[in-house]
Amino acid sequence: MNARAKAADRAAILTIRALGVLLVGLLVWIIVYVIYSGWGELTRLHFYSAVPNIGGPGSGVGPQIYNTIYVLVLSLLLTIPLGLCAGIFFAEYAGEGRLVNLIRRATETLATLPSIVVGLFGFALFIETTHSRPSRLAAALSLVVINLPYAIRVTEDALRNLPPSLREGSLALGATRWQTISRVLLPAALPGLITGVILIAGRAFGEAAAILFTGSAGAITGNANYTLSPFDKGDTLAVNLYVFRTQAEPGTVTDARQYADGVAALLVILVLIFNVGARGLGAATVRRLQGKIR
Amino acid sequence: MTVMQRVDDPMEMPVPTTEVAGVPVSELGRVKLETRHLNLYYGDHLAVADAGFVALENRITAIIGPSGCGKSTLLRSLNRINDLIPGFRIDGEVLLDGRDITGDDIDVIALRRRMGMLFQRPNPFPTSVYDNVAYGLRLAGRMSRADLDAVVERSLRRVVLWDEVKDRLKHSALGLSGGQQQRLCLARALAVEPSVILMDEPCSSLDPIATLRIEELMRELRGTVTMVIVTHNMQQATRVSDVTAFMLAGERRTGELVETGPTADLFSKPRDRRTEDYISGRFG
Repeated sequence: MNARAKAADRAAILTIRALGVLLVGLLVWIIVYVIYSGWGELTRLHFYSAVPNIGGPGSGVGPQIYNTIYVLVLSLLLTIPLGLCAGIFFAEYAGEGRLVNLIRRATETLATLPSIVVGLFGFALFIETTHSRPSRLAAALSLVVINLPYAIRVTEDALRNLPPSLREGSLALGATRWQTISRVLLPAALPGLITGVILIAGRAFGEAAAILFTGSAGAITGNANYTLSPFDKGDTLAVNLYVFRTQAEPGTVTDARQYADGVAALLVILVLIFNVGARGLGAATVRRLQGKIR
Repeated sequence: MTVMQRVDDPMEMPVPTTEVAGVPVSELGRVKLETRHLNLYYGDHLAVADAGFVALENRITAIIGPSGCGKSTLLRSLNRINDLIPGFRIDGEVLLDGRDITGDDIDVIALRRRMGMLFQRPNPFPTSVYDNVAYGLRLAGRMSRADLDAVVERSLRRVVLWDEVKDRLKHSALGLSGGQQQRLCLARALAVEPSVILMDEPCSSLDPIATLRIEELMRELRGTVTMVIVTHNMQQATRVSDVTAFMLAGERRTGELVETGPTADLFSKPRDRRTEDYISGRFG
């Protein structure tokens, strides 16, 4: 019995380890492969600055980098406050009513919607009914629809997972509920909230389906639209990757395949940079708010 | 420690009706906190029935009893912190300085400011040591940095923590040991100068040395602050308290305040059979 238990223990550990190594290996392989494939473009300075060159060589994705960051920031600016407020409401004020549970369930369902459906919905709502054209704003709003349920959930969970003694400790000192939330609970929940923002941003970075309908016309254009207006068209990197790889006919953009590889590599690198940056910034904020541990 | 000094206070509040061990409480001291016919409910469940609890001003009152007898519920109704629990309901009177605090019109924020609380597990906020102590003061409004510094230092000195943390005031409170954290929580409560401190098994997660330090602090605060301590540790009650109240859950898990008396009397010559069974069962 003892020997069998030991053997089973060893087998389980071996299996878990092997699967773990396999998974990490797969991840590293994907990243290395994508960056390797796009290396030629990544090392060409023009790739970051030039515009797509219809009918010729020497294309770049400068406007797409700009649009990606523009749409990402705009969508985060809308998602984070809305998600925070709704999450705080669900965790601290809503209680357990029937209506509240219905809303909660609806929010969760919204989170499982395929993004292409959200894109179509965004197109119908933000573009058709307003008789406008695809724009950065419409793209950002579609991303809000995709990310908001998740942002709400992350906020609610981060607050609920705090020990109740924090809440009681603050209230026992004569704090109001809002003082307790804003001065104790939110700072304490910050690490969880930061992770949530990073995941949301990652999804916004990579989302193509929703933006295909709402942000760009789904075709390669050669405009260098470094404008500030949210009503300008905003084809992002992810959309361009799709277009380069599937739509580019011979004769539209020379070496479309190469650009697609470059864009893929750039996306991966941007996401990695954003992750590390946000985590670093988050850790610094947590340290400032919560003090050094040692 | 059991000899109760009579507090001759010309401002004596409404004549207390309660007796402690057959002696009118007016003989023992001024009543700070009192409950009359207090029934506490969680939904339909009657958790504490008809409790007549008394805490004397600037003295230490212990509430003892087995788990589930409602002693924490009673304590947590005194500063209305149990209001947070859905379904909790108070029926009866809780008098603080002779005034009932159970009404809906009571400003619970102001009430809780006058009554500090220590919990079973130290619950420092995940901020710096300094910000923890300053928390209650900052809630009340703006204060100059110098004044804040002074109160923080004085509070930390009162709990004999200053020398241990004066060089790490800006560091996280979570880096302190459990005993230090609980003393920090006491300092945090003391910073706003409460007249009452409620303690809900404040030493149950501490080692014996940290426990003794908290008890020492309680003895030092005696005379300036009214303290009510819930403890499952009868030795602790005998070590620190002036008056002890014994609670027991009867039928249908409804807690009852069986007997209240000067601590030495309650442990040496309990008047109720159930008290005797409980204390002898544990000691014997």
